[in-house]
This record gives sequence, structure tokens and C-alpha cells, in this order.
Amino acid sequence: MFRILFVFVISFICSTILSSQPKKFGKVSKENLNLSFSKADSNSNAVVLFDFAKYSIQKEFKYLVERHKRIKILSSRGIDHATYEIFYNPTKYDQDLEKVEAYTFNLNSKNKVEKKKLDKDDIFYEDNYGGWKVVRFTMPDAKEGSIIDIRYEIELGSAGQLPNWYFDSELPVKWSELVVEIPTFHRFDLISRVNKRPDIAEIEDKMVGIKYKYQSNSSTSYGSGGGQDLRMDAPAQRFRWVMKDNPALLYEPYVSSLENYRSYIFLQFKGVEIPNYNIKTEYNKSWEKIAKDLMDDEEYGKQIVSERWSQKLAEDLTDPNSTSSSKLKTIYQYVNSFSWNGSNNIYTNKDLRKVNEDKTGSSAELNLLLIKLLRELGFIADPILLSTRDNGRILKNYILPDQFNKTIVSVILDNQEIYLDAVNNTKFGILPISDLNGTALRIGEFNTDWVDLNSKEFSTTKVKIESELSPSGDITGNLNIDSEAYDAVRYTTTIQQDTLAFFQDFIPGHSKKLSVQTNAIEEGDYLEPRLTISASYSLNNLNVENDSLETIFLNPSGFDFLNLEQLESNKRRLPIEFPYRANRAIEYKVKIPDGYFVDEVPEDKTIVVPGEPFNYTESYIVRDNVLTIERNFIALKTDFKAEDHSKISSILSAVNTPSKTIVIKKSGK
Amino acid sequence: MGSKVNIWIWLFCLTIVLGCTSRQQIIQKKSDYYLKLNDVIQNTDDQNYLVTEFNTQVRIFPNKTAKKYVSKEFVVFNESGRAETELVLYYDSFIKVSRIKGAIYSIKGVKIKDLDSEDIGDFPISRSASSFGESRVKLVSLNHNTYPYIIEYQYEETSSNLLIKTNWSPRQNREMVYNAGLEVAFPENVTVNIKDLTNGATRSESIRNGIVTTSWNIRNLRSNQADTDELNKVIIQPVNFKIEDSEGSFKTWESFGQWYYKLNEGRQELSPDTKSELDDLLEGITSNEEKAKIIYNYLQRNTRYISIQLGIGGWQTFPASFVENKGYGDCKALTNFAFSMFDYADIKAYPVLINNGIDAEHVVEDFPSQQFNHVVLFLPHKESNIWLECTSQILPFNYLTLSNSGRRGLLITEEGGELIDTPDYNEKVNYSIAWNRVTPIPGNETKISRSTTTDGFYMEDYLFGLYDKTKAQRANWLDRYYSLDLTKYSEINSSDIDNKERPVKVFFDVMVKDFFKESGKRMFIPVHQFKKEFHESTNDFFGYSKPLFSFSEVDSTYLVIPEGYSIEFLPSSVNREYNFGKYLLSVQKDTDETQDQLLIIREFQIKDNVINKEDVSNSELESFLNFVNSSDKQEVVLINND
Repeated sequence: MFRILFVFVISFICSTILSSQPKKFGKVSKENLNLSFSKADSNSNAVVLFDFAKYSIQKEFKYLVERHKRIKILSSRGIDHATYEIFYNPTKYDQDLEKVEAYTFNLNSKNKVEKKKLDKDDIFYEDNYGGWKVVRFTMPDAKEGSIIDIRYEIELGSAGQLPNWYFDSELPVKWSELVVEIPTFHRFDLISRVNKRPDIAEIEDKMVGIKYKYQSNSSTSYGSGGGQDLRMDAPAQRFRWVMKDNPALLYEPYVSSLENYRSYIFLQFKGVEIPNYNIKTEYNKSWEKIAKDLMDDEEYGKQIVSERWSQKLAEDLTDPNSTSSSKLKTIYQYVNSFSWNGSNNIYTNKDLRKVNEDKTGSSAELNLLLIKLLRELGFIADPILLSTRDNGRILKNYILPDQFNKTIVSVILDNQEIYLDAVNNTKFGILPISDLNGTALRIGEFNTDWVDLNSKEFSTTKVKIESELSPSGDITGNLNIDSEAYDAVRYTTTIQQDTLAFFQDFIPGHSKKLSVQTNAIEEGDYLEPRLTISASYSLNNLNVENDSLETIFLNPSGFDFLNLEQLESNKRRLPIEFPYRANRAIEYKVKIPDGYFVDEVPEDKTIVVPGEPFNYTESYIVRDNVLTIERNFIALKTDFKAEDHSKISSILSAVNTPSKTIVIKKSGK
Repeated sequence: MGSKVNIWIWLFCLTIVLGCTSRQQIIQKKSDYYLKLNDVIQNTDDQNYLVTEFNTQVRIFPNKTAKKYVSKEFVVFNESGRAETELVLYYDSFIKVSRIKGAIYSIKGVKIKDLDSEDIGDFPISRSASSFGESRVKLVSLNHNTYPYIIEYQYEETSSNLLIKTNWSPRQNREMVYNAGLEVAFPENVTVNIKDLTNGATRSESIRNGIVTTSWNIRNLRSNQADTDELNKVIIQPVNFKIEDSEGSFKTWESFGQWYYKLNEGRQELSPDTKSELDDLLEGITSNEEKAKIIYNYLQRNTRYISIQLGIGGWQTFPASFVENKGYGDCKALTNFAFSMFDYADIKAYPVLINNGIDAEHVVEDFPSQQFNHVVLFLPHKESNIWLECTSQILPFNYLTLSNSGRRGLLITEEGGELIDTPDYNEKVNYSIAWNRVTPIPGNETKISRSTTTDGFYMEDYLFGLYDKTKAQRANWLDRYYSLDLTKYSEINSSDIDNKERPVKVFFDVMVKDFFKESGKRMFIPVHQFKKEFHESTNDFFGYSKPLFSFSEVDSTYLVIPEGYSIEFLPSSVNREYNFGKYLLSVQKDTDETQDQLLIIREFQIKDNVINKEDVSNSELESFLNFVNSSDKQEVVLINND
């Protein structure tokens, strides 16, 4: 079971007892190297023995991150954990990396601890996009059984850059510790979400001394080197949190994002307040304030203000006499035809005019351009800020825009609100599944509110097959597929990639050869995805040369086309989250040749999740020598607790099971 | 070896002349050029884009540097075409890319946009945890949203490393090309080897003012033409090269080998510690093969593969002391370290340069040049030679993998280089022989015991799938490898793998769910569940429609008939044999046992001549493979008599 506690650690009771840091950098004993692990941990290829960070204020009001991480490599498969990367950004955030040090510890053949230092020459520095620097190194002498000890410091340009601390990772973490020393004039909100209570949570009051250069207004005119060296003694708080024995957090099917299930502490910078000096700045007071700031930002809201070029462009693109619906479609398809540069960010990097010239941009740039053009035509169109599924859900209590990574569009058409995303590689306007992540912030011209981005549509697929079996075991038939919403979106792509493979998922051939002739394909409107296909087909027996078989084994169509991932039946840690609601049905009819009969009609089957609209049925009927098989899979609810997994797993397993083989025999036998 | 990316070292010519005219080209040619272009477009065969002009000029200078000037014009028909026509330009400390220009024009030739700095991204080549280096990439991306449109690029590359040959192909990825040209120019006193492997190109040569100029032109390459890039290209290699301060010659393989030998000479000194460890390990061992095994095992226990490519380090090995000190190295460094140990133990060993990869290009034998990306170690041995892949901690002694086998390589000795063959792993090596016992239990579970002996390609799967894993991890891998649904595993024995034995014997005894289908009183049981992924369901061999190597599989399965059940249907036995392969399926009631059971024998073999010989009919092979797939999907039907 996976329980989530929201703990606002700021309210923790003060404790004055501070245990000392339990691990000393560069010191590893023989006992450490001989440690054995529980079965669960030893199924990981490496274990984080110790992960420590300390955030503290330094001179000039900068912050220092001291990091110490110790990893044990359990098998040769875990050797990649001997390679380490550190990211920092000197250009954009005035960050600096200092004191990178690391050791590898091994037990040698004489059972003595051997220590090997990372050579400075073996550290690689790479320039990455956006001013980021990546420091990479791999540890000498790393092998199965090694312990790697790494320490470094990053100086941060400002208080707003304190990194989030995660207690767990894809490896088990035996000890995870964060120490934060903040002067009280720096206002932070500490937000924590943990899967269990921290093993240690302490707060201590103390004083910190901060050196800084004071530059009075009058001294600046005297040229460089001016300014006075001063020292400020400020009251501060020291926080310490420790979580022990955090299991590895690993992927499970139907989880929107592991981000939602990690244990973490966020430090949200609120501003500066020094009462004696009458200094007070405050950031991120409320979501309304954030929305207003964003709309006043040159790199966001100011971009959608009406301009002559965009006015002209919107008018040139559309026919003034056409309907609103047709104008919306034209503008959407225009921006949708631009290419997305792969970037999801809150802010824009380029002027929208340049975006329009270049026909490429980030998701924010493309969607803000869409809003801008729609507004030029008089539409009510507003940005919606969201966090994509892989980025984790929005925490409303945590008032910081950094949680969002994407902007999409809300537009009113004929009194109805429609959501559009200009970054959409399908021909339909339905939001990509990656956008469907619950809470999102809509910034209207007059008010800001939360909207729920979950799929409203049912994804449906209805398959009808009418076929006829010949005494030689060959089958001819007609297939009709009617699909809506995400099913239609998916099939529109897959049928183009490989038409025969697409049909093979609907008409299983087993050992027979499938030939298909598509008779008609219809697609719905871009706002109402729908795909209907009608086709005729034949299945021919390759291994049989007899025109009148005694026994025919028939393999009817199943739900192969859904390609559903299975759930493990015996264990589940995380909740189960399906991206959308769905309704799928197959009606398969086959006419049995004269002189033959169905030897045994399989039993019907029904599986339900008690009390929930999530079920599966399967039925077999023979009437007038026609066999009818119906299979239905209805999933009208998307979110389930981990406890429900066994029923859901048995339904998914039944859905994935091919239809029962039907045995058809010659009469008189 | 050098950067894994096949970098064209391009060279320059006539930059100034072309640089000026090209930008104007489209505008000037306007009316008739576009009429013609429209004709060309009408004749495209369902393409995402079309290359209308692709011109490359190469100039090689006496100071052993070179320049390449490239201009390319496309017509882009759709979004996929837009993505495919992005330019990706590699560079490092030897290769500089400059003067990147580009523009987009409407299909009628009206300029829409010039390339600007924001259209060029600059990234380190994405690396894995085991790869470090200096190579970077410039990604040039111009976008438009009204199709079709014309896009034009130009750029210049300067190279100070003539060790990398220039491969010029008129096209990549079977794209459609209307007109492609190459011009190579160099002073008369510079020797340049040129291998012309073009198909249908016109070629002209001239010597003017002491400059030798050779040009190729090729038109109307259609997408359905079956030639691959490997078969339609020009390879250019200046005979004398210089990299940093090291000079060498491609006059013969021998001379290139001499350079390589010299470059890496004097980097084999072992520390006293390693020597004394080796002395201990080898004490009392007399057989060279035994010694070699011990040394290879020492190498595997104490090192790991980390690729580091910096400057001349792409060709020159790190000294043996580096590997001793760090415990890691790239293929050159690890091979050199192994070489040093063999040298110390007085065992003859030689590095062999090869082109690694399961579908790697063949070495062009009459064209000495840098055609390699990997190095392995060769130990001549009286009965049978020994070959060692020094970058793997998993492989058994004297096994090279299919990525290294069956190809020409350059043996490096003190005297120089010499082409030799690496061992060929045919169906006699790539085999799997298995005994299975399948006991279906009514109610959905099946007990499966499988004992396989594998070598070659089949063994590689087991090695990488099972080596150094916990039991749960091994069960998980088997589950996915054979598409089983394991519910219990009482035994998974792969000790041969951990002991580095070869061939590898693997035994497992497991319970699985959903192995057979139950329908009322009947049970449908697959005749063959243990298919290797590479020939499952479709005729797809790593994306190739033909097998890339020969192999042989034999499966003997006892299928226990559960009590109360009798046989309703057995697939008929088949036996097909061709010059390229063989398939046999026999399903018999087994009479020898007291228990009711079936003996299912399945043999599948692709013979060696399918790989190289011309006398294999593709359609016959295809229909054979289809037949195998369909036959393997057959089921035994058992019926409950109660």
C-alpha cells in the first residue's frame, strides 16, 4: 500500500538535540564494504548508502549547497552508477561548482580497504544548451562491491535557487538527509510530501554571520573598489530531516508519473523581510498574483498583446465572412503546422513575431501565438498553465509557477469552452494525453481559476465482423471499426504506418494468411476525433490442402488491437491511473458451413470491480448455424487505489487473452 | 578508435565562386528552373522530400589538411520531410564547421527566410555512463509550414586529420536525388587514392596549373533503386596523413599498420605490482592456453569499458599504466593492457583492427584506409587460434560475438599491417539444442523444465540476459525473453555463465500461467513457445528481411498429457529442406514411457550460404520463413474424455 502524507514540516516541534552527521567523507570501513542487504534491496544493482545535502547562507547573501553521496555497487550491472554528473549554470543563475572530490573503496585480496582518489584530470566539463555546464566523471577501480564516495559544493546565485530535495530514487536509499540553515530575514515556505514520517526532523535556532560589501549611493561615483566590508549577524534556523531505508521507486504500468509518489522537501522562497531596516519584498503571494505577474511579463503575457503584424496575419489567414468555427479551425491548423522545437517551458525565449517567421517554437511560444491570433479575431482565448503528466501533478498549496511546464489554450466557440494545444502531432485537436494531468491554471482576462484537465470523452472502439467459414478452414468476411476520441487518434496513425499489421490486430490470422481490402475510411471533425473503417478480408489456410476438413479450429477476433499493458497480479505499490475512460466492444459473427456444427460453445464470462463501472464480459451464442461472440470492456473510471489491483489485473488479463478457440466438426462424426 | 560517427572529412574547393553564386542561383534561374523543378516534383514516388541539388567540393592541401564545401537543395513535401532534412554536422578538435548558410524559398522561388543563428543548435553528442569525449554536433533546422517548399544549405568543413577517409555517397537513406556532384581537387604532388564505387555516374578528370581535378555527376536517383550507400560511393583517402605530430601513410596496409604500431609503441610497461600479481597467478602453469585464460580472466575482473575519445586519443592508446591505475579504458586501452600482460607472460598476441557491428560495412580490401572502429586481440595458437574481445566482463574466453566475427581485420605487427579474417560464426557455432518437459495442469498452470545448450548468437542472449543477476532478476528476464508469465521458479541454473564456460548450458524449472488455452473440455497447447525474438512472427532480422548469419535450433519437447485427456488433434509432421535452410516438425505419441506424452521435435536451420551466396532465391527464402512462422504457431489439441 502506498500512503501519502502531506506534512508541513515548518510546524514540527522544535528540537534542540542534533545528532551529528553519521558519515565522514573519505572514510569507509571494512564493515561498510562487507554490508549485506535485504532481499528487496539486493535486487537493485546498487544502493545509495548515504545521501546528504546542506544548504546554508554565505557571504553576499548567496547560498551554498554541500553534497555528499555514497553509493554501494552490488553487481557488475550497477557499474553505471560509478559515473556521476553534476549540472550547474554559471551564465544564467550565477552558479559555481567547487571542490569536486571522490573516492572508490574496495576490499583487496588481503581483505584490506583500498582507497582510490578521483584524479582531477579525469573530470570532463561540457557546455550544454542554455548556459548549463555538465561536469561528468567516472570512478577509478569501480567494480562489484565497490563503495563510491562523492562530495562537491555548488554556490547558488540567489535564495530562490535552493534545489528540491528528494529522499528516494530509482535505487534504494538507506539514509537521506537534508540540513538547511536559513536566516529569518529570508522567508521560505517549506513544503514536504513524504510516504512515511521522517526518522529525524529537527529545528534549532542559531545566529549566522554574513559578510557583504556595502555600496552606498555616494561611494559609487568614486570608481571601482568602492564599498565597505560589513558583517551582519542574523538570527537563523537550522532544519534537519532524515529518512532512512527508502525503497527504490520503480516504474509500474498505469502510473501517470513517478514524480507524484516521491518523498520530497520543496523550499519555496517567499521574499526578504528585515524589519529594522524596513526592507520587505515578497514573491508569489497568491496564484492570482502569479497570474498577474505572468501576464505583465515581457516573456509571457506581453507577447499576446495585439500588434499590427498579428492583426494583419489573423485577417489574412481567415475569410471575414466565414463562421467562427471555421476561423478557429483555420487559425488552429495554421499554428499547428509549425514545428515544435521539443521544449516545454513556462516562459518564451523568442518574440512571437520571430516564432511566426521561423515557423517553429516551444510549446509556450506556439500556444501563446495561437491565443494572440485568436484574440485578434475577437475570440475569448486564454492561456492555461499545466504540468504535463511526466512532470507530476500540480500542488495548489505550493504557490510557485515553476511547477508548470506548459501553456495550452482555452477558447470559447459558440458559448462552449474548448481546450486546444498547438503542439499536437495528430490531425485531431483533442488534447494530447500528456496534457491530461488534472489541475491546471486558467488565466482569464478578468479572473484566474483552476480547471480540471481530464479526458471528458470516452475512447471507444466498436468492432463488428461478419464472416463465413468454408469447409477447408478458409474465412471470408467484412470488418467494421468505429472508433472515437483517443482510440480514433491512435488508429489514424497506426493504420498509416503499416496497414496489414493494423488489420492483423483486428483479425488474428494465427497460422492463416490474411488479405484485406479497405472499402471505406472516414474521419471525424478535428474537434471530434472519429475513425470509421470498413473492409473485407480473407484468411487462408497455408498448412492444409484438404477442401473438406473433419475438424476446423477457429480463432475469433479478440482485443489484440488495444495492446494493453498487463498489471502484475501479485504486487502493486502505486495507485493505478488510466489516462482516459474507455468503452470497447467486439461483435464477431461467423457462419458455419453446411454439414458442420460447433462442437462445444465456450462458457460466458463476467468480471467486475465491485461498485465501479470497470468490467469485462464475454459471451458465445450459436443460432441458425451462426456463431456470435461478444466481448465488452468498459472502463468508465480512471483512478484506482493500489488495493484494487487484483480485480483490475484480472480484467486486463481477460481483455488481453485471445478469444477461445472454437472447434467445428463435420456432422455425423 | 575514432569517433563512432562516420564523419565525412570534407574538403574544399572553389569556395569563393560557389559561395557567391549559390545564394543567387535560384533567383537567377527562376523561370525555366522552376518549370523543370515542377516536372521533377511531378515524378517523385511518394517521398517526404526530394534532393534537387547536392554538390560537394573537396580540396586537399599539401600541408595535410583539407576542406570540404557542401551545398544541398531539397524540396520538402511534408512534416516528416521537414524533420528529415535537418542538417546534423559533427565536429571536434580536428574538424571545424563554418560558414553555415541556408534559406527557405517557396516552390515558386520566392525567398521566405534566411538561416539565422537561432536556427543552429550546438550540443555535446549525447553520451552514456560509459562514454566521454569532445565531439559535438551542430543541428541546423529551418522550418516552414506550407508544403512543398525549397530549402537550401551550404557549409564548409575544415579538417586537420586526414586519417579519416572521405566517403561521398550521392544520397543517404535511399532518398530521391535529382542531381548530385562531387569534385575533388589536389596539387599534382599530393598523392590521393580514390576508389570509385559509383553506379551510373559520369566522371571527368583534368589537370590545370598543377591541380588535379576529378568530378562525378549522377542524376535521377530514384527511391526504388536498390543500391545501398555502401554500393554507390566514392572513397577518398590522401595517402600521406598527419594527426597532431604523427605522420603516416596509406600507401599499403602494411604502411598503415606500421604507423599504428609506432604510434602505440612504448605504452606497454606494467607496474611491478601487476607483474608480481601475474607471477603469482601464472606460477606453475605451463600451457600457453591456460596462461591466456588466466590473463583474460584477470583483465575481466579488474577492468571495465569506458570510451574516452580526445584528440589523438581516438587512435593512440592510453598506456597500460593508465588502465592499471584507473581500472578502465576504451577498446584500444584495454586491448593494449591485455597485450602488455601477454607480452610479459611471453605469449604472442597482436591487436587486430576491425569494423564492429552486426551489419557493419565490409572492408574495401584494395583501398588501404581507416575503415575500422574497434580493436580485438589475436593470439596465434598451434591447434586453434585464440581471439579475445577485451572490453567485456561477461564473455567467455575466446569468443568474439557476432559483432566482431566473420570479417576482415587489420593485424598489427612490428612489420606493419596485414588483412586477416576473424573467425566465422556459422550455424555450427550459432546453435541452440534444448530439451523441454512441458506439463500442463488443467486450470491454467503449466510446469516447464527446459535445458538448453547454446553457443554463438544464442549464447550471447543468455550471457547478457542472465550474467551476474539475482534469481528474481533472472526470472524476470526469462519471463520477457520467452513471453512467459512466470508464477513460480524453483530453479534457474546458469552457473556456466558465471563460470564463463562455453558452450553455455542453462536449466530452468518454472511454473507459468496462460501457457496453453483452455476452452471447455479442450486444451490448446503451442508446439513451439521458445522462439528467439529475432525471428518471431514476422520475417524481421533486426530490421533486415534476410537473416544476417546462419544458425541452427533443435528443440525436443516432451509434452505430458494430463490425466483424463486424450489427443484430439496433432499438427501434421513436416520436413522441408532447401539449399539455404531446413525445417522439421514432428509430433508423435511417445510409447516408451508409462506416462502418456507427446514427443515434439522441431529443427530450424538457416545455412551459411544464405548469407553470402547469390544462388538463394529471395522469394523462396521468404516463403520458407513464412511457412516456418505459420507452422510454429500450430497447436496440439487435447480433449477431456470425462
